[in-house]
Amino acid sequence: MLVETAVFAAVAALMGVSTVAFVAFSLLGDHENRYFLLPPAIMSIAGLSYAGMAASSGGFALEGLVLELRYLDWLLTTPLIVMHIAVVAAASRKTIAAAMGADALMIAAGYAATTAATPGVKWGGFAVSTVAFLAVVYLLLTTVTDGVRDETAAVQGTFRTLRDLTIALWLVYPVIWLLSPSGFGVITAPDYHFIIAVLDTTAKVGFTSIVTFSITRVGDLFAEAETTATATTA
Amino acid sequence: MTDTQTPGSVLTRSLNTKSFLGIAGFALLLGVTVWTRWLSIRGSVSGEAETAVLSALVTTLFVAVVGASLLVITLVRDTAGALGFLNEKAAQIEAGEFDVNLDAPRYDEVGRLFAAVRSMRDAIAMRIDELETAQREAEVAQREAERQAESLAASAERMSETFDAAAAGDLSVRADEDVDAEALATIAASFNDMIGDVETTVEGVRSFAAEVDEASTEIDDTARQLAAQGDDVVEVIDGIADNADDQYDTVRDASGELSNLSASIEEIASSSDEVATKSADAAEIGNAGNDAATEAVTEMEAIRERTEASIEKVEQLESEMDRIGEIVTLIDDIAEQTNILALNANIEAARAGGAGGDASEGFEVVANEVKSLAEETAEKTDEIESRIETLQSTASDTVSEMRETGERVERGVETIDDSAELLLEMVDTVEDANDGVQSISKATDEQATATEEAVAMMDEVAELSEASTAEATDAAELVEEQNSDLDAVSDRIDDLSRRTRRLREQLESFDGGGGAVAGLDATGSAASAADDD
Repeated sequence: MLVETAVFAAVAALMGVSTVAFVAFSLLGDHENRYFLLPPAIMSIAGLSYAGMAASSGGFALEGLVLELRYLDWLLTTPLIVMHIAVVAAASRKTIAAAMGADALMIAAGYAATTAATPGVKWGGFAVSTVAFLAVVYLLLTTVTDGVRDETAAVQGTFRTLRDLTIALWLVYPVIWLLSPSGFGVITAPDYHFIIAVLDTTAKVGFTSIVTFSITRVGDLFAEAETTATATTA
Repeated sequence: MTDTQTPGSVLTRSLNTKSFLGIAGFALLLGVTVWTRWLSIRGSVSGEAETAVLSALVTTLFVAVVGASLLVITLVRDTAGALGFLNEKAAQIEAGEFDVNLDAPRYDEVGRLFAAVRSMRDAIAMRIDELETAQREAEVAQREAERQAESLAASAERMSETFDAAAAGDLSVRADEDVDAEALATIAASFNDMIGDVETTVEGVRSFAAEVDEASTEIDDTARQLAAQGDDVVEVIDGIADNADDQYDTVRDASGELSNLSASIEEIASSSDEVATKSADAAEIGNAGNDAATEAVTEMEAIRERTEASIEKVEQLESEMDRIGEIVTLIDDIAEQTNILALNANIEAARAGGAGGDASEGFEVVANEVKSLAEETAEKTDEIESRIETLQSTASDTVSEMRETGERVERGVETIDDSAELLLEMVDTVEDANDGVQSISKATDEQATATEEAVAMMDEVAELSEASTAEATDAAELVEEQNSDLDAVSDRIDDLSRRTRRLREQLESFDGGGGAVAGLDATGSAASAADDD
């Protein structure tokens, strides 16, 4: 458990640094859009989650709650990520709500499948979670993407980057789950936790970094898109 | 899924495809590597070690693939995003939005690309600005050209109307010289100068026609007055000619009278000569008587008886001769007076030649006086003649008596001596008489000469009168010719006045305008100045 604790702690530390960096960026930059609070919020939740997982795995506190903390983390952060992507694409509230609902269902069903006592519940949960994930992917690729066609190329570029990164990384999760002990047991639990940590870190830090870089590198270009998105989503 | 209409999308898709293919290839290669490593390890391990090894290999595989994917996606997204943004801006620039923001706070290849696009955008914007400026200038120039063309057409139209008005006779019109086209302005200025000159000339001609009309009327009146005065002059000259004719006739009559006077005087002269001759004869006879007395001395006694009778006859003869002497003396006085009258006649004649009518009357009086004197002289001369005839007869009687008394003379020797002395005295007296008669004859000759000169002068006067008559006639003819000329002039003046009025009527068709009429005098003087030219 020592390796897992160290991994969780490292991820938590990285999340914390990223959170501070993004907040500092948000404060230094003249960005008044309230959606700029999403990336640091996601990062903070994830960091706190990993800190909790590190404490739990290390025997310091929250004994045996690694799985619960992870799914709680996902249940909060993944809908926010979806929301952020949809907001960048200036999607409608209905679409955003549907995507966030499907995402939450995906996480909940995945938790059910992971903690299922019987194979029926486990594969049923996996199927429901997978369908929900496909629904989210569908919404992001169709409805939300259709809405972004009216936005500028820069906004579209940022949107696509976030969308593709998210979908690509999230596609790995069910595969890893199938290889994990919860699934067919190809990889061990510590390796599973490591891969998930890498994926989480990559997904969240990568996501935040892309948003940050998009703003800092072509930040002024983004201004009109920001304004348009704000006006559309307000 | 993506916008395929823009090159940027194609680029992005291409990059995504390449990224996907690269990641897939990397994952495949890594998967094959892990699979072969697992096959080689699988025989030497077992149990939990086998599971741990497989798990580690799979974990490594996934992490590697995820990391590679993250790296590739990040790089591709970064480049693709910037290129897509740049593509969008290029599209905006292409659409004409040159104020797009191309600032990129990066100094890599993408940053240089942005700078290059920015420079290109600025250059294009500048060129387009230049083009638009040039186009605006061209449009402005075109509008200006159109405006000028319209202005030119309008100006030409106005000018044409002005020309038409001027052609219709309105000389007060002026073309607008304030036009854009220099050529039209020049034409307008030339036209205005020309129409101004024409107006001035027409006004000048008009006023000149009026003056000519007025002058023609005056000249016509003057000519008629002159013609009337000419008629008066003709009448006066005719009167002068008639007077000259009368004068000529009078002078000619006077000349005839003078000629008659001259003839009478010549007759007197010849009579005087005869008297002289007779006197000489008488003297000779006296001498012969003396001789006879001398002879009679011898016959004294015969003559003596007759001598007494002869004495009586001779005494009678003596008295007759005395009478003759008185007459001759009278004639001499008359001759002197005639001479004086002739002299006066000469003077009057000379005055008549210089003064005309009144002188002729004076001369007529003188001539009448001369005429009466001449008649009186003629009467006296006749009386002398008769007396001389009487004397002759008496002398003849005396001769016969003397012859009868010759014998008586002889007897009257004593008486003869006395008779001889008386005869001698008689001879002296006769000679004296002869001398007187000679002087009479001489004076009469001089008188005749003077009278002839007077006649010649009278002839000259007559010629002068005739000449003056002819001249008066010529003058009358000249005045009549002048009158006819004046009539012709009057006709011509009437014709001129008629034509001038027609000219003025024609000129009335030209409307010079109020200003031109008001400046008639000025234009009239200008026109006269122009006439001078």
